[in-house]
Amino acid sequence: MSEAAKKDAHDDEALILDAQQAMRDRGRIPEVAGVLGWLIPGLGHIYGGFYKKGALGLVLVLGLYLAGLGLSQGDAVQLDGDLAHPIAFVAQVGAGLPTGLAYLRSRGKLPGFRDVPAEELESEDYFKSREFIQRLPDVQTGLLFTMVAGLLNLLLAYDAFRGSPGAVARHLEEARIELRIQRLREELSAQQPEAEAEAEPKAEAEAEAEPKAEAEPKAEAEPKAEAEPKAEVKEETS
Amino acid sequence: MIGTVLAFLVSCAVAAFVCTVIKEDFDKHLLLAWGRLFGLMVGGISAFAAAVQVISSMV
Repeated sequence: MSEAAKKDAHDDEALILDAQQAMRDRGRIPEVAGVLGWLIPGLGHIYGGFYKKGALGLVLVLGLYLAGLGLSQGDAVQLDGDLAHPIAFVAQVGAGLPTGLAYLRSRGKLPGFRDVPAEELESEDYFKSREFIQRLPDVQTGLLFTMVAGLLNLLLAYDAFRGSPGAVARHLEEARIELRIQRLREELSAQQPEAEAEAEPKAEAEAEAEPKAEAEPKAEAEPKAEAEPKAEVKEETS
Repeated sequence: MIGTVLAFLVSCAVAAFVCTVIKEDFDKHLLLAWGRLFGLMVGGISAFAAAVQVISSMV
């Protein structure tokens, strides 16, 4: 890694720490922002003072999660029985509170649970039934939505925990480029006087040489000019 | 079919939003970057799916 790249990496690290420090300066605790962001998508950003980001995150990520839950009629979040999706649950855990509530609902501890009798679930007829097969695409879509929302929320929560330094980093990068351009301009302007100072004696020498060169043709031309009137005078007199 | 396409578009839109919002600020850059990433995701995944379909139909 070059010296400049090392310095940039160091600056970026300092910037991330600065973003967290800036959050603390505003009286917000980054760890609380991270936990809130994990519990409810976008809440960490809202807590940290990034209201627009938080509001959009809340609408889009939580909306995606709820859409998935609604499409699957709650079956997307399951850990028990034959309808369980344990691997999907790992991704869904990224959205803390909605997944917790959906899990409680799947255990029948919250209202809205669509109770399928255990005997019915145990029989193979249920899984071959028209109702179950018709619902399968929606359950798959619901699984996709809830998993994607859970995983994306982990990103959002982490961003809230770091004090959302992304935009700041971009602004810093732009400022850094401008600074480099300014430094280059300064170097160029510092080099210019030296170049001019070097160029001046040459220019003076050339300037000294030029009048001589110009003077010589004049010297040649003048006698002719002087000679011509004489010839004219001679013609007049004759 | 429509449901699948819609699910694909919605997933891409939200994924593009989250990946953009952690990198950009709320000025003109956000919408532009969001749209660009969304287009790239939709275009790239669609092209890949089309290529898979073509190859699997040839085999």
